[in-house]
Amino acid sequence: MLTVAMLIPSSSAASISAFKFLGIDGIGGSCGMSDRIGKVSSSTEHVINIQDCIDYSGCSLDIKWGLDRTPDAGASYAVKVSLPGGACVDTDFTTLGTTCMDSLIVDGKAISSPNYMVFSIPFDYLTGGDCQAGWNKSTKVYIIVKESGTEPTAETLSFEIDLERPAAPAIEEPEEGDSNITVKWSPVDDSSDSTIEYLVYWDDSSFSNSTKNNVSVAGPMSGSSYQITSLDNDTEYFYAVSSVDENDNESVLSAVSSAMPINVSDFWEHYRQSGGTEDGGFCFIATAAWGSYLAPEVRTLRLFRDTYLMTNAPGRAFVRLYYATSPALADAISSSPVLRASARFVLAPAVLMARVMTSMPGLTGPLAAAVFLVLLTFVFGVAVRSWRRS
Amino acid sequence: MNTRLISSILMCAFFAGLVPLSAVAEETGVSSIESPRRFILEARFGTFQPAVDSDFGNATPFEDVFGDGMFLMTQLEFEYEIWNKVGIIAVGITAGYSRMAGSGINPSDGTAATDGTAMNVMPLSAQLVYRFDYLAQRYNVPLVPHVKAGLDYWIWWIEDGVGDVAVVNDGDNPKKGYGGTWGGHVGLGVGFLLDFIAPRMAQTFDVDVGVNNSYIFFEYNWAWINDFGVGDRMNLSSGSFIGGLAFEF
Repeated sequence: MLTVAMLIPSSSAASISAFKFLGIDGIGGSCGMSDRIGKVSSSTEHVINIQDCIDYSGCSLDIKWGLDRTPDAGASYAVKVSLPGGACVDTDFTTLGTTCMDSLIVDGKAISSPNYMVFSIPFDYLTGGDCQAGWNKSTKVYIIVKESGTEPTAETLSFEIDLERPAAPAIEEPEEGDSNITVKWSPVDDSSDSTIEYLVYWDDSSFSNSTKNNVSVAGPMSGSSYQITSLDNDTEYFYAVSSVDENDNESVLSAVSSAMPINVSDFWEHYRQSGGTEDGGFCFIATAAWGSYLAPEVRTLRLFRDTYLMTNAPGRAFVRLYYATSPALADAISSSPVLRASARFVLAPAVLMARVMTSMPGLTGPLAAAVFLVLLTFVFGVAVRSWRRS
Repeated sequence: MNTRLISSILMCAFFAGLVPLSAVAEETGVSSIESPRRFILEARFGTFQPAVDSDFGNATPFEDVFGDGMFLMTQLEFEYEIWNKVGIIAVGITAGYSRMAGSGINPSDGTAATDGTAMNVMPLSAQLVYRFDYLAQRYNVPLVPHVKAGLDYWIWWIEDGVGDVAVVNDGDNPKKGYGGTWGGHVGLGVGFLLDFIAPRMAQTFDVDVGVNNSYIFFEYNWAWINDFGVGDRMNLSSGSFIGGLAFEF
């Protein structure tokens, strides 16, 4: 990743009056810099990571700047670039310094259009060219302005060049579950990075750093474990973990290990294997109680379902659960006149509530929930009062 | 002289707030005006141990997975008072939730696996409640016994090792581990009227937010959750010790 441009005042020269940073463009066919580089004028932090260093090698950068004033007629500017981790003298156009590049990028060019100036820097000047160097340093670009009668003034653009990979995590003993493996690892203790996340790779064939892009991957994620699901039992799976730092630099893989999902009985399976007779599912009570899917009461409940349950996630979940399997109790109710009458009596308040709510157009959201609760309370109150009077 | 001294002390105490108006009222026999009582809200926390294994001879599938301990059941109950003379008769609705988590079973040797599994229960009920608060209202006896009975519909679902609803393949007919079970319940309990401890605070509570009475209560609840014995449903019946807070407003 390319981090471009953090504006900081020069350590020795005064700041350029009315200076404005106008952004950075990548020059070249595949040099369109990513937004991570902070190429817009409002960006203040820019990072070049290892992948940027590789991807943009050979490109050039157009760095745009300007002045919110009109300098004197003879004003000129120069641009110097430090070595990674170095610095340049910014008080004149000629002195470079020992950790500065040995030639100027711009040497005494006239400020012809002060509102918009641009100069180019080879991308590799910023990174030093060795993307596997393994260090994290800052490269500075100095813009020095000379106007008649005054000391030169300067601004510094600072590029963080992060070519340092985080350490690889150490994987721990996995948990082998039913169609799943829980991969565990020790968090990386890296004081140079404030945030470390992890990528988990897996496949049913072994892989390495060079072939990891061909296998399944999850992340980046925080934490120290991840459950890989939807695996085949009794099949050996290989897995490894890598860490990713705050600048998206990825470590090499941890050791590649393997595990095998095994058949495990959850409670439902164990219950059934032990002889349990429950089949699960909900009962189509209303249909059984009124004897027909087309009964007005059942239609009212269906309308309530479509209006107030199917329009929100919890309601849809409830409906999915309700319609999942065959209705054992409904069978029992439908075959017993006494149970059918009892079910109709019990469901009458629900039908009444559904009828009232479905007759109120525009009743949605929290208001619908509130009305539902009020109606529920009212209907039960009326029902009990009626019962008492009778 | 004594009269002036007593008057001065009373005046100082009054302005210092040491003799609140409510206490004066109580001492002088002037009862405060109470806001109307219509509803009761209960936050309920109780034990839960479903009798799943009672349907089996020697097998104990529930205990194998979840152990033989108690689980927490949390409920919220809302009641509407329909009669309030010699005690209170109210109708109420209750919703709750309990989650039981355990380890899966290795079918090969019956040992606990690293995979987890869980059962979730969401009881819904409608009930009739009677609270005998006559002595509390009339004679300041702070104990209010109550009895409840109602109809239940408990929604339950079982999670496999990755948190999905468990599925058993029964030939070409996969059976998913969720359902709803009808039942009924009866509860007996007693509430301790907290107003008895802090009457001034209780009065403020009523004036500010309309809560007439606050109780801490304990209850034993018998729940028969097996579709009334019809069909072959999982038996979720449980006897539960329940405690909590109740607010009448």
